[in-house]
Amino acid sequence: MRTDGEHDPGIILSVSNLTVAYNGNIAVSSLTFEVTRGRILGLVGPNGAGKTSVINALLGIAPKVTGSILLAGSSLRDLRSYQIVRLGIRVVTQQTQTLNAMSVLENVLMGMPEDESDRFVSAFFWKKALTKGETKRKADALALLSLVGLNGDPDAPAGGLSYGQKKRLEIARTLAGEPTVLLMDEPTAGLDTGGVGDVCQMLKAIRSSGKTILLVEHNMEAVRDVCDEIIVMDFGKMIAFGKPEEVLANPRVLEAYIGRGEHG
Amino acid sequence: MDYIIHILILIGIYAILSISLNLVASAGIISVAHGALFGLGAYVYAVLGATFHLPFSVALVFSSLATTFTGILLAVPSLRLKGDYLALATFGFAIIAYDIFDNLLLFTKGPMGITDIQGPDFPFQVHGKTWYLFLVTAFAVVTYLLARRLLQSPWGRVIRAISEKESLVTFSGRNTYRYKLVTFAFASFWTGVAGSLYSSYLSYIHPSNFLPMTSILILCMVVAGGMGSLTGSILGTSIFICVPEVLRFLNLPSSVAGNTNELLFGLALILFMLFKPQGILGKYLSLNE
Ligand SMILES: Nc1ncnc2c1ncn2[C@@H]1O[C@H](COP(=O)(O)OP(=O)(O)OP(=O)(O)O)[C@@H](O)[C@H]1O
Ligand SMILES: [Mg+2]
Repeated sequence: MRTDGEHDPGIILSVSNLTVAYNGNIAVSSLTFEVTRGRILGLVGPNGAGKTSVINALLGIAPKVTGSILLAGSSLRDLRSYQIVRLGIRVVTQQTQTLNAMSVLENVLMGMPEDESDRFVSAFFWKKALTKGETKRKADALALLSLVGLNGDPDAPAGGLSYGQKKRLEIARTLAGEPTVLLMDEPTAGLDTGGVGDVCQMLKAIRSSGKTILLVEHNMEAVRDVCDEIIVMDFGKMIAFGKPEEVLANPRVLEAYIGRGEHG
Repeated sequence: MDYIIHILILIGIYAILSISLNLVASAGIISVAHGALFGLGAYVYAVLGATFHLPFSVALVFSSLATTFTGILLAVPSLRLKGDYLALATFGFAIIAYDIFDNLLLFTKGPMGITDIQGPDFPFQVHGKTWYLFLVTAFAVVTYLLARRLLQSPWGRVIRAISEKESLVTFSGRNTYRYKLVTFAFASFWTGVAGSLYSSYLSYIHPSNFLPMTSILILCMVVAGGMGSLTGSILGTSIFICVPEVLRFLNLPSSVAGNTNELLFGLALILFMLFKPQGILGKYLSLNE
């Protein structure tokens, strides 16, 4: 951890002494880690270890946070969630979030960054340039849908999709935001083996396009497959850090998992 | 004939209210203050017209600016609240507004009401009511077209998304609070227009025109027609304006008629919520599942 205030361009996200508490109940305690640009950092640990709380703190939605969070050297603390997102962070939350009353295509469009066409006045003073922009956004959205393997009717309501399709839709929506850092909270949860494999392929493709991923994951096969490094959390603390194959062989990690009958 | 025109004028005025409130509802905001803002618009017009003798168009503009400004003042703190709390806060505003209409004698003349409110000067000496119908219809059509344009635009996509899952919109980097504030301000503007038309049409207003119940009535029109459906709002408005008139034809004693009316409103609202929460023409449920 660097303390000199200089920013190392290789480090996109730097978290130090992060503590998250809910009504005095400490969920994350003095956690310090760095995420290297262009890598996939895994965040694993048994249920209730504090993984989602870390993500919530990064997004500015955890109620009580102390410590520092720097994105490319600038602090995210004291920013509102939408401002944090505008800096290039996007999230796939643990709970599936789709706009069920809106079309599949609209779901992806809603993931795109705010621009001039979203303005109130643009509804009345619609310019040619905006039509071009909207056409391009739709084309990009369709391309993302086929990238994640959703080849059904883009105008069908998203509410009609299956659980697995909704997971894919979420990834497409998140990518539509052109993030530099993706936070993904168990993107493979509830998917069958084929689905897990597909998501892993997508994650690797996202990484090779230069983006950085912080991945919370319970599926250890997926973790071994895609993560460059992993952090293991237990009771809000980091208990191990390193390459997946080494860390997952660490007896303390095994105990944290198997000792409490967790998947591993 | 006169009577029918009268009903159509009322439908037109209330359609402006329900269409603008529908926009607010489309952003997931349940506001029970629309009738109060409408009353404010009517009073501002009345005072400017009857006391200061400003011409119709000038008074209407000032009245709409006043309701827009007040709507923003109400929305700035209230929009921080969620769902039911927001509805309660706006209803609190409706109650306070009624008390002010009833007690601020200096401006509103309290329960005596304001009389001799002037209307617009119509170009021809045609029967005044017919012209009024044209005028009101023109305003209602403009409200409808603007609202439709908004809902179909990318901006409308954002507010629909806010009503379904606000956090998702936040995590797309959009300041949802600002979208909601703009929606509320725009809708508040139209309460001033509707209030001015109402005031100048009746030429006499008093506080009981703007009971807290009026705000609920406008919300009922939106809910019955279906949130998100503008034509639904026009339908809902027509139903809620016509039903009391039909009751009047039944020649019930006035004490019974008034109560029957409110009873029917309440009952209709409950039935809709139970059996068709998306309204008559609503395509989807815009509230969080
Ligand atoms: N909103 C909340 N209010 C109170 N306590 C909470 C809240 N969210 C989480 N916690 C508590 O904080 C601790 C960490 O929870 P968190 O959701 O971060 O764990 P997790 O590692 O994501 O678990 P899982 O693998 O089950 O998703 C748990 O003890 C949990 O009970
Ligand atoms: Mg979690």
